[in-house]
Amino acid sequence: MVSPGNALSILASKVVPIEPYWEAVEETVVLNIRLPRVLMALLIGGGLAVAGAAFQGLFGNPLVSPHILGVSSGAGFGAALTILIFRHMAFVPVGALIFGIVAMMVALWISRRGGRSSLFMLILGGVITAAMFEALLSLLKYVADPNDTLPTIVYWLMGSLTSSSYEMLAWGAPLIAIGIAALWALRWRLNVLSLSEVEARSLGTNVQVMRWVVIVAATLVTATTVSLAGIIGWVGLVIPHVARMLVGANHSALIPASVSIGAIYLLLIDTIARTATSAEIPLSILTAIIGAPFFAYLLKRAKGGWS
Amino acid sequence: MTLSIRNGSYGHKPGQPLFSGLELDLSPGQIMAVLGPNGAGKTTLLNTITGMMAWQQGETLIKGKPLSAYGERELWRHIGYVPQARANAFAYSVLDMVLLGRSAHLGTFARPSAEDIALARRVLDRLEIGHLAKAYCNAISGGELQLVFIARALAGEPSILFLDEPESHLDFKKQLIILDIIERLAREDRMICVMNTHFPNHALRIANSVLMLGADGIHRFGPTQAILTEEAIRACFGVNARIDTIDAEGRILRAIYPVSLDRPSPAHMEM
Repeated sequence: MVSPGNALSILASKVVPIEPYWEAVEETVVLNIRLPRVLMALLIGGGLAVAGAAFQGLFGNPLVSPHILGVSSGAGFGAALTILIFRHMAFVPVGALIFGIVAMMVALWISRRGGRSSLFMLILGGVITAAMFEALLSLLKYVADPNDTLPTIVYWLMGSLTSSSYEMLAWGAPLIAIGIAALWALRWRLNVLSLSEVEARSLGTNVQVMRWVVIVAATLVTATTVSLAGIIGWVGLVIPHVARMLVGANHSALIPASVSIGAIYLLLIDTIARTATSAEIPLSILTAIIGAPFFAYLLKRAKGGWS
Repeated sequence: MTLSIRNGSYGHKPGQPLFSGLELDLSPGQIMAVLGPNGAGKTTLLNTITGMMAWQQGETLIKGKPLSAYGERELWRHIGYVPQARANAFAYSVLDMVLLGRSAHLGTFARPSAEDIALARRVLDRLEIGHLAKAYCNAISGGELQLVFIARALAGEPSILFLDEPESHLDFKKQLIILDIIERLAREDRMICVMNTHFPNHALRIANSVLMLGADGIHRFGPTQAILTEEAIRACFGVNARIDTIDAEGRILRAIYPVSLDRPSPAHMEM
């Protein structure tokens, strides 16, 4: 085990000259295993939370998240499909993004009646879409080669940051950063988009174009996180609510708050996942165990004020 | 600023127009009330006039130019729209909500400046709800929320204001507050106000002109006193009514009293 002092010294030695008094293996652990993993947790946590906040704002609905809208399942299916076809992780983000957007579109299409989506229908549309893509994902697992592609798919789907590396950060971070930057830039407009369509248009906002920009940006972020670390649920649903309790509903403050709280939250969760037991606990299990009861509490507290 | 409609027609089903051949011209400071039974197409009319829905025939002209001559953003700097008060899923503060009214004036990535905030506060003060600036929109009364939505529209500094049943769900006093505000906006700011309402008395009180939409697709448009007659009320709403005048506080007030439902005669019923 690397002591906290040594870990800090190793990190500092990259900026200021410090004579190494630690073992070489400690430096390798801190710089090549722990650091990329910490950065990855911050990146994915912030990304999932901001995607959730954006989807909630876009649909004027605090009950949606990338997971509930089926985006995560679609991206998961897309990623698994590319693993199966190309037998390589390189094209995973592309497949995840395409099917993430397809899933989003299907959920929207199911929920639309006469040009409008009610909150209820939107959630149902997401549940149906998610169920469909999860079934397709099971089918892929069923036909996957049990010695080769199946373990890759299964291991990666459970949600883990174990395989974090600088190579993954190198392609994942820019994609997530682009998505977050777009949502960050549009954070005040998200307030307008959260109103009814007639109101948003009457405030001089090009609702159609804005919606697409937000959907693509939030789906890009979600799909990239799925490609990097599998499906991690609940962060995108719960963190925006925590942020709203702290800074209010205005997306100008909510988007930055969601990014930072989400980043710190997933880092904490990953640290627990890594250290709580001798074996690692998959992230999605922990986020659900913590997220589900907390969300139940929020629902009870809101006394149906969201419907 | 003028608002005109030329040969405006719209219907949800072919051959059954809600209104057709609509012709009207409104000039600054005028208030038009749109009256008609449920389903006659009052909200649809607002949506077609403002271009949210396309006319099937005809066009809307602002300053003599068709809507298509304006960019989306430019158009909504001229027009303000006040929806029926409905709570939002998110608890925005009143000031944040009113600031959204600046959105047609702000760039896509811009956020409200100190000047925008000062403007929003002035609007709130003018509507006498300045004390609510920090309150949450889902924690104020329906009447206050309606005032917030009017403030939001006014924050966009429009010259034409559309209001969709702004006083429908409000108590007696709040209705009068809203009507007084609309009158002031027309008189002091020379705004054109177009207002859907369920209350003929409100039209009599503040409107210069009235557009009555009948369920049969026939409309009547003209000066309030000429259009809002006992005969027209019977034809449009199926209600026998009397119009009377009282003189109170130096103001001549006309009011409509519903007397009875306009039922077919008993002889007719027996057949």
